[in-house]
Amino acid sequence: MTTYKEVSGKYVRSVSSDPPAALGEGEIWYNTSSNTFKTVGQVSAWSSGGALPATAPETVCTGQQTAALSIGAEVPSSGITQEYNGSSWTTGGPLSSARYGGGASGTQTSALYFTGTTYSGSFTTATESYNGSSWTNANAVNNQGFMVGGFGTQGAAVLAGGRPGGPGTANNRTEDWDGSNWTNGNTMPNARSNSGTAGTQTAGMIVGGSADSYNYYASTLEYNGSSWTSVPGTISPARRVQRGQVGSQTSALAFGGYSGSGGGANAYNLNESYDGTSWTTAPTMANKRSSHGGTGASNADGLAVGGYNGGSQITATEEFTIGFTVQTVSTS
Amino acid sequence: MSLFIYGTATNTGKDFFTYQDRLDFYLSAHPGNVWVVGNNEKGAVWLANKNGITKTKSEAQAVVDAAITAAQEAWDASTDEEKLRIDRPTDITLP
Repeated sequence: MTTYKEVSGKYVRSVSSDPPAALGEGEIWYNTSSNTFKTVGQVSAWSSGGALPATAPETVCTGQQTAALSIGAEVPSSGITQEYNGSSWTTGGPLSSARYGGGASGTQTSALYFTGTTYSGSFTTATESYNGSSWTNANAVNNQGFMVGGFGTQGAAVLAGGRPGGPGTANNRTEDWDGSNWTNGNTMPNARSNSGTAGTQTAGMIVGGSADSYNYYASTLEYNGSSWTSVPGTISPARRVQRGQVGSQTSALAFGGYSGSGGGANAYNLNESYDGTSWTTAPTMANKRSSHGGTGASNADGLAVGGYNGGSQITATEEFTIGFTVQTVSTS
Repeated sequence: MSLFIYGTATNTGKDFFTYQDRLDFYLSAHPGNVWVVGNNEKGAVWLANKNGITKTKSEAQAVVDAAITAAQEAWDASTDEEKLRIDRPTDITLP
C-alpha cells in the first residue's frame, strides 16, 4: 500500500492544535487533542455584499468582485451607473443617453456600454465609453438591441444577440468593436438574448439565455474573434442567467436566472461553475434572483447584483469566493 | 426536530451573512425579508444576532404570501408593455 510519505515526501505530523487553514493546504496531520486526522479543503460559498443604494433590475455589470460597475437599470430611469469597491456602492457618472438593456465590456475604470432601450421605449444604437467617472459618446452599433450579450474590453468588445425590438424574438447577430467602430461579424448558431458572457474578443463565450419568452437555452457558445462554436457544456436548467461578464472562456460562473413560461416568475438561486469544458453545480446563492446583474474575474470570483427575488426588486448583492477550511478526514 | 428555523430580518448589506455562515448552516432569503435558517446552534445565534424575529413556518409563509400578493397586485396594475418584460410573480412555498 502506498504511504503518505511516499506520496508527499513527508510524514504525517502530530500536533495538538490545527495550523491555520491557509498554511495547511495539501497537508494531512494528526490532531492529538481530538484524536483525528485533519486536512484542508477548498470550499466555496456566497456571502452578502454591500447593498445597492437603490434597486437596479435589468442592470448589466462588468469588472470584478472588488471593482465592479453596474450600468443602467429598468428603475430608476436615469441611466444610472454604480461602482462597487468590494464593500459599498457609490454613484458614478450617469450615461449620456439614459437607457438600459445594453451590453457591457471592460473594467470599472475603462468600460464600454452599447445599445439598449431608452425609458420612452425607443431603441438606440448608442455606444458610450467610461473612464471611471464619466461617459463619452462613441460610434454607434450597426443594429439596435435589447438584453444583448457583451464581453471583452473597452477597446476590443463583442456584441452578441439580443432582441432587436424589445420583448419578443431574439436574433443571432454579432458585432465586433475595435476601439473606434463596430463591424458586423459572423452570426451565432442560434438566436438568443439575456445570456451570460465571459472572456475576451478573441476567446469569449456566452451561456444560457432565451430565444423568446418561452424557449430557453442551456448551451454554451464560444467565440474566437471571427466565428462561433457550440461546445458541449450545458447549464441546468435551461434559463436566462446574470447579465454581465463573469470570468473567461476557461473559468466562468452562471448564477441565478429565470425560465418563466409566460405566466410565472421562476427565479433561481442556482450557481454553476465552468472549467472550460463542463459546467458543474456550485454552492447556491441565499437569494433567488432574476433580471440581475453579475460580474467577476473567474469561477472563484463572482458578484451577483440586485434583480428580482421572485416577488420584488431587491438591493441585496452577494459575493462568491473560494476559501480554505480545516476538515476532519473521514474513512466512511 | 424541525430542519429549519424561520424568521424575519433586514439584510444590512456587507457581511450580513458571511462565507463562514454559509458553511455553518443552511440559509435562504425570501420575499418579505423572510429567512430560512438551518436549525443548529450557529444558525439560531445568527438569527438572534441579526435582530431577527423568529416565526413559525406558517407565520413566515404568511409574510411571504403577503409580499407575493403585493407584487402580483403591482404587476396586475402595470402597463401591457411592462407585463411583457417581467412575468407575473408566482407563489413561493417555503422549504
